[in-house]
Amino acid sequence: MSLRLSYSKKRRIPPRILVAKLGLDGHDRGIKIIAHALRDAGYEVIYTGLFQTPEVVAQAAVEEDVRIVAVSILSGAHKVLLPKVVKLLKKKGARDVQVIGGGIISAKDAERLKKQGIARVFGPGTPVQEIISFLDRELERS
Amino acid sequence: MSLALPLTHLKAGKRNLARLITYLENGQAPRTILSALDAARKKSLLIGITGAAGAGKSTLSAHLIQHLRRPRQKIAFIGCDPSSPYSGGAFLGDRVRLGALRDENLFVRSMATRGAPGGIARATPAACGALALAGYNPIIIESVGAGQLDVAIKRWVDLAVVVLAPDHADSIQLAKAGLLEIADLFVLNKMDHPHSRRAEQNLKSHLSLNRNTIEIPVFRTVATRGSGVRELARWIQDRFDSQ
Ligand SMILES: Nc1nc2c(ncn2[C@@H]2O[C@H](COP(=O)(O)OP(=O)(O)O)[C@@H](O)[C@H]2O)c(=O)[nH]1
Ligand SMILES: [Mg+2]
Repeated sequence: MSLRLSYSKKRRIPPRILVAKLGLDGHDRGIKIIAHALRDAGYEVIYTGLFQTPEVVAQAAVEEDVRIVAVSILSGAHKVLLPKVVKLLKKKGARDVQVIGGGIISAKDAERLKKQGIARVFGPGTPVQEIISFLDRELERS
Repeated sequence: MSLALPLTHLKAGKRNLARLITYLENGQAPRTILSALDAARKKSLLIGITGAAGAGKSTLSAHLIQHLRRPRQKIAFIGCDPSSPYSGGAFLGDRVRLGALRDENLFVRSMATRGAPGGIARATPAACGALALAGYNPIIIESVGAGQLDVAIKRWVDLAVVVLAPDHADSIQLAKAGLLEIADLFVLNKMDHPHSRRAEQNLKSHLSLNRNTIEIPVFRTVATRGSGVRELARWIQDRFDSQ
């Protein structure tokens, strides 16, 4: 009894990714650019919209059965909100879901977030291609 | 190989259900499961929402979810969006309109069409079966609404809702062109729009031309405010609760 199959075995199946915007800032230009670049790179991008809470994001990740959640956060609340997403995913039995963060996050904070289970943090101005290459590699591994 | 396991575990939590839908989407579920899901679909009321992109299908659905559900009742929503024929990727944005709707008894899934014609994904009917088996009832399915007619949905939903908006020049044209044949009811959305009265008269006079369409109900809504949705929900409940 095994229905297990990974994306890497069948690369023709589009990988699914959840792209979310946490916190109270109303800027979604950056994340939409990334979302559309991901679509053009063959990803099925589920976009949550603005002003999401960690609870909403974690539940969406479970329902959409994604391997990766990409969270954009500009409001400076990342220190609290990103680890909360990781915690809630664990609570929901989805510890295999990777969380990556993007936004204005200092190197010191990024280091700490890494210890708290955030797979990777991308600073502002990261070329989209760099993010896509990272995701491609991660999905290839899993 | 025992295939009973994933199906009996569907009620255990959203993870199993979500994973099964992934297998369905990827064509990785065996035939026996597919036929079980096909049968299970009849357990739940399936409401198809179709109409042109931008007509307000997702916004309307968000309010419909709230009006249709009873306390502790499980309800599901599937939003379909088109895959890019170039990259195979897709932008699935129906969740945006559902906003902060979130709780244990609501299951929302986004599906890309992956090249399937007719406005829904190939796996959408089977996914509805999985949701029904897990106890979700009703299930609301939003089709792509790419401007062409999403008639595929009509074949297996219990209720086909066609959403029209007066700010779409061709919205009413679209109705005339053939959505008439699939609609169990019309929702004229964006009634806050200046042309809405004219659009309503236009639609109604067209419906009255045909004996088969004259009885089709027309609901008027402003989905952004949620107005008119209560009446729509009540009509649906009256019609299906007795069955
Ligand atoms: N003025 C007005 N705008 C609406 C109404 N319903 C939806 N909209 C807007 O129309 C746009 C498209 O809505 P959406 O629900 O995404 O349409 P869909 O593509 O059919 O799912 C959004 O900007 C909504 O805010 C309405 O009743 N009145
Ligand atoms: Mg929509």
